[in-house]
Amino acid sequence: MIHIMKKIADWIVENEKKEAADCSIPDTVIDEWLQTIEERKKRMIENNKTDTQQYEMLQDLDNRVKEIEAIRQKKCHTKAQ
Amino acid sequence: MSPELIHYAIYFFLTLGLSTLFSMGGVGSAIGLVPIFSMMGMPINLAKAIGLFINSASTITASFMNFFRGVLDIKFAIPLIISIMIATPIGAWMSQYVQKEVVEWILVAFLLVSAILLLFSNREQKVVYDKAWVLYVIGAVVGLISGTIGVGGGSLIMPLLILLGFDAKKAAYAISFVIPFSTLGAFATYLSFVDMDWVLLGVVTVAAIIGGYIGDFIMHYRLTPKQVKKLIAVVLLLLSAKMIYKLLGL
Repeated sequence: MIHIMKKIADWIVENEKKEAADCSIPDTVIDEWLQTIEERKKRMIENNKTDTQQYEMLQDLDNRVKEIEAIRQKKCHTKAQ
Repeated sequence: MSPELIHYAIYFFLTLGLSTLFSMGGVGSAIGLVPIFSMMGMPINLAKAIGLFINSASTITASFMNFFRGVLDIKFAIPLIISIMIATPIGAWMSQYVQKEVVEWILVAFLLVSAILLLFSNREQKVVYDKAWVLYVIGAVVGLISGTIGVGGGSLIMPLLILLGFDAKKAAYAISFVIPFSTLGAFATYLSFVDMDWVLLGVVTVAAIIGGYIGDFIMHYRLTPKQVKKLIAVVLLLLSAKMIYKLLGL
């Protein structure tokens, strides 16, 4: 079940990547998104739930959002300089 | 175009527009749609039943997207769901013993003060929740009040959470998830005595799903917590205006 959910999450974030990489979106929005995922991951670490599939799903999402952040860093901040 | 098609198209676009707008604040659009539907000649109980289902459809869609974006913390929402589900029927039972009008005026005052605070306060305090009992208490209080006077819980929990220092966007994500648990039960109750227009329900449900997706998308990618706070304040002002209108018998 979680495996299917991971696939859906991947697909959704991949499809929304273009929108998220849009430079008109404030950096704070993406930062908060990442922060929310990291807070949840932190709580799971504190509760020793790192070996669950749910943690794995969050980890994947974390990487995806970091990817978006890197794209934005390159695209938006290079343009601004 | 046939008049029947125009009739459904009007309901579709009204639902789409308001569901998009209200989903941007994490709440359902029934508080706006029910009076409009009623003014358009729909029987009030049918309007309420359809409104409840629209709320469920748009918030379920939003929660689905929030879950897959990793921003919905179900653990945070569970105490609210449990306490609301227990307290709302108790509130409904209590409504026969309390003076509803007094409670409604107190609630209007609360909504107005909350809206003003949300609009003008710049408090940046953020709470990292670690005490579930706080959420149980909030859910129970809101459940009792919403059960007593028959107002949806989402618009009451939201200002409480934000004023207590919870991040507006995270509160909106959680409330979107909480809403269907109370609205679907109420919808089922209405179904037992309302003559449902199933085609219309299907049309507005599609609109609510699309509106729920677009509104949530805008909130997630385009709005900061400060902007979400302002939007919620506007929703509260609308709700209090509606309640004052009803209380004054206008």
